[in-house]
Amino acid sequence: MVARRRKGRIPPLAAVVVVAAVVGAVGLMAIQFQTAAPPAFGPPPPVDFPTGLTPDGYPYKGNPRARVVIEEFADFQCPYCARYAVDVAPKLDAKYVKGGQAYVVFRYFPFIGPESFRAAEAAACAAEQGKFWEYQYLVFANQRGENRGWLSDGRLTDFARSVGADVEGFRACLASGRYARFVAASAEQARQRGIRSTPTVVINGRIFEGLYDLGTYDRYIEQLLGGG
Amino acid sequence: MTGTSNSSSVGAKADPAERLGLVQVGLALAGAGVAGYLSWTRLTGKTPVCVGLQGCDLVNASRFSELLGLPVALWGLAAYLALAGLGVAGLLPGLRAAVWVRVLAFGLALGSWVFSMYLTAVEAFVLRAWCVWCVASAVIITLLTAVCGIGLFRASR
Repeated sequence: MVARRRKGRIPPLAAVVVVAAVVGAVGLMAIQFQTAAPPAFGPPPPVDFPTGLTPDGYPYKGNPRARVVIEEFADFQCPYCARYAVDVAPKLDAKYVKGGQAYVVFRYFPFIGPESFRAAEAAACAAEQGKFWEYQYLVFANQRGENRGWLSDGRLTDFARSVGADVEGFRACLASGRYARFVAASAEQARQRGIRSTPTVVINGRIFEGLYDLGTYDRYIEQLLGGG
Repeated sequence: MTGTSNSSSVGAKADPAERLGLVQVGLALAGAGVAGYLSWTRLTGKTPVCVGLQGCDLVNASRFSELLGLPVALWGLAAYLALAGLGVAGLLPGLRAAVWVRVLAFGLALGSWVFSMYLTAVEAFVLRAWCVWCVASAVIITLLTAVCGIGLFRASR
């Protein structure tokens, strides 16, 4: 009787290969999630450039005489705006704002829901204390969906505490509602300028509607500066 | 004298293992097409054309679209091309009975599927946005994993 080798028998090492592949995938997931997910209430990037309010009350950063003027129209509940604020803007700041080549103005454009307006008011209260850019970063970095009650006054105040604002002053500002008309008017003015959605970034008059890759903004700014 | 099972008459159809291998190659090339398109848009700074689901730009611009400094789409492209290569290898006469080809294909497909399901969960629960191309890739890798699993099972019998 001829002994017959079992055809195509799976070697035990094959189980090791399969398990290793799954473990490898899980490991990559962990690495990516660790590096990708923004920390809740984590520190915003340093604001190491001039900031303030424009004559008409909008937060700015950078050199007002810069050749490149960037206007950012955003709603604090807009997830695309959050990606711009967290992933794109800090890189543009490091490259152009810090060096005085770009001047950025934030234009409130709340429209998604009541929490958008409230968050815009809160950001204006933070701007009053010179904490706008840190504040807007935290609000965007900690988004949890639209119109879900996430941006309560309590949470908006927590963000203010995290950026080192005077909490009592912030609370009083928010409770007074003194920026409610301002942010509503800001949204209306944006509509009259033809801004239809967020994020919209206007760079020296050219409109970038929607979220673009960092490279797109970078290349255009370089072109304006004469390097592209 | 009886013919051997290795002989084929003219006009004979592909056997089941061969058909499965062709399906594997086809699915892997379809996946490579999707991943290749996403890689191209990412590397050229373009926004993917979004059909139906409108979250393509958000998903592909998110932090979750990168892994170890490279676009996730590029990793996907490499995996799909490897799976296509293994599928072709499994069709070659010398390697048709090689279980190792199927083990590697199944391992790679399964690992890719696990990662793809994680990215799908990220779209659903973290980004709350859907990219139609990513969903298509998730469907393709799910089918590929099943095909590779069936191929391994049959090769081991």
